[in-house]
Amino acid sequence: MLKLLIVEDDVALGAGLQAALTDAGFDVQWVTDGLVALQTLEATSFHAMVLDITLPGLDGVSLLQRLRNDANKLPVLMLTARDTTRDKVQCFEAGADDFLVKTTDMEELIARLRALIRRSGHIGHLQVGDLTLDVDSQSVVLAGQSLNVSGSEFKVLRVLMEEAGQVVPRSRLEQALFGPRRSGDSNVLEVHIHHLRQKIGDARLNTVRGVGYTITLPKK
Amino acid sequence: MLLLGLVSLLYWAVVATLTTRDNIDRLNELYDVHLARTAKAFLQLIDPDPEMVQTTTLVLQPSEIDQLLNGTPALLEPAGDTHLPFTPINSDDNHEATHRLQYGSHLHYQLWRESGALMAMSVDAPRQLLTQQLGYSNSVDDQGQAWRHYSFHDATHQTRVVVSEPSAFRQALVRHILLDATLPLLTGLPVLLGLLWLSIRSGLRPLDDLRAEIARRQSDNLALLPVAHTPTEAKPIVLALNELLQRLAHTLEQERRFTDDAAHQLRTPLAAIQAQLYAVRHVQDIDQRNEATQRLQTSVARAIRLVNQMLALARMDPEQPPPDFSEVHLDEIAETVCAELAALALERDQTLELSVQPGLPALRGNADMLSMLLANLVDNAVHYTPKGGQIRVQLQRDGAAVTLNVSDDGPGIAPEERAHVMERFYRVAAQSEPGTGLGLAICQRIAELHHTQLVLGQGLHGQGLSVQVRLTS
Repeated sequence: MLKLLIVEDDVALGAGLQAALTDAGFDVQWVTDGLVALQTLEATSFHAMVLDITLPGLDGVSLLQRLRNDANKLPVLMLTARDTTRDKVQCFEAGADDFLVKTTDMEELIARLRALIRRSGHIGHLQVGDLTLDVDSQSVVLAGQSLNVSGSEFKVLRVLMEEAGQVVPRSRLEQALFGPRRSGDSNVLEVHIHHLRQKIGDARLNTVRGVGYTITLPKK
Repeated sequence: MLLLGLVSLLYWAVVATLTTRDNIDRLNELYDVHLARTAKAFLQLIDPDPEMVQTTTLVLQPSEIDQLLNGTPALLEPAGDTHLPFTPINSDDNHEATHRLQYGSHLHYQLWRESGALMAMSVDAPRQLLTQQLGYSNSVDDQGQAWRHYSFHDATHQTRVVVSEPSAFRQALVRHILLDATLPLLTGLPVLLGLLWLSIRSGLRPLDDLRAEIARRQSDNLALLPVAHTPTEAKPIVLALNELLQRLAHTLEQERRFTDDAAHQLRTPLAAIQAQLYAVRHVQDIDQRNEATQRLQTSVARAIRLVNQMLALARMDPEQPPPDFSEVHLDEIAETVCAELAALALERDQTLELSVQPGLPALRGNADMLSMLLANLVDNAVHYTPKGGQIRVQLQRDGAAVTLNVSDDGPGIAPEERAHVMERFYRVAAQSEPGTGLGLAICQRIAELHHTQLVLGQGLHGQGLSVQVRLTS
């Protein structure tokens, strides 16, 4: 079970988050104080943290800075009522992995947390329905059948599965393939997608024309 | 004001002291010259024969001497000094004579032979030599009176002449002259200062009135200040103040209206939340309860959306500082925004398509705001287009500008309603989709901040809505 620490001083919101995230399958611990959060982090290891900015004891940004100074790479999602660009920049500079405004709905929060944990590599494999991708062994398994995918196809599929349910822009996929310098040959990505479609099935991989691609989450 | 008075007084005092000192020196010089001339005149007057041996001393009355001296040149002419502050001697012959008479009678005269015999003297003069020194000299006599002497030796007549003047007399004369010169200034200065003070005070009165007018004001009184009686120098200040007051009034009015609108608009979703919450707690039927929970969520979402949009709009108020502009690439913004909203479109089985003409120029703008503009437009399209509908986002080059177009094949907006949809809180009639009525107002505001306008038209396949913005670099 994925362990989650919530640091939120508003009791109504904290309790709501705890209930919703527990229901979503996380093992949730909730604290209301920045210093208590720091102690809890020293005692227990978590897969991710949901952190508020304004907190008693120690504010969220300072807490995050201390964590990063101690080389703690715990994925941190800032959840705050502040939403100006300056707030966001401040959080990301302090080492936040994601930033959500408090009015975001639960489904998005859960999806983002899952994506954060997937990207952090804490789990060696990604799973979307009956499609599993093992990061360590570079292997893809569909309904128990091992698939033969190339290195490039694996890179593309990994990003798509990390962001499953979201549309991944072409530019991000191209970056995963070629690195920061973008290739002028835009057909390469299409070719890999075409091959992936043949291997994992048409219905799983959607195209949004001019925008990017998405792996659809299985309907509940 | 007080400072000005003090400074002018001090200045005046310094100038007066310096001039007076200077004048005393000049006057003394002048009287010395006069003394010397008197001595020479005295010699010429007696004109003693160097060969003649005289045994008795000629004693002269001051009146006699004065009579004789009257024939000599006037006091001031040989000196040629026009700096003297008093002139009656030159202007009035009678006065001149009187003055000389008085002057001459105060002097002592002695005329000595080489042998040491006193040839002539004025009646009051002592019989001893007044001074041993030739030229100018000073001395104090037995009675403690100070004297100024002039003495010279004349080779032709084989004589020595001494003329002495009481220093007190000369000082009295000098004092008199100086007082004559400075008295008008001394009495004039206070009058001048008084007049200066009065004129400055009356000149500053309108400013003082203005200050009082501002000080008296209630904090909510933003009426304009009167310009009519303001002095010309202060007019620009009053005009600028008035302009500020106008802007403040406008901002306050907007704030009032916005708070008012916001409270009203928030009431509805909150009331809905209250009602549905009641239903959740009291309805027994599980299906009905689920339905109420569903509606509860919708109402909450609506309240959240409303708050977010009102915040966004408040931040783009005309009174806020203009947003930071930098180089933006609309194609990158469009890709990110569309990627974020595409999932929503996919859920509704809609086709979202982004088409970007290659080689678009970079623009100057605010990336966050342009993202919000596009997100609002695409979000609107996704919400108001039915399931299975089509949404197209297009970026086209138009010279140095880029045209952004978001079109759908939904119900669209009737031409007569298009002008209204950009007003705050305006909602198209018979709408089932929950909306805040702020989305397009926000888009329009962002467009305005980028010096452009939204253009509403017909969408895809002869129906739906298209919103177009032409952004220049």
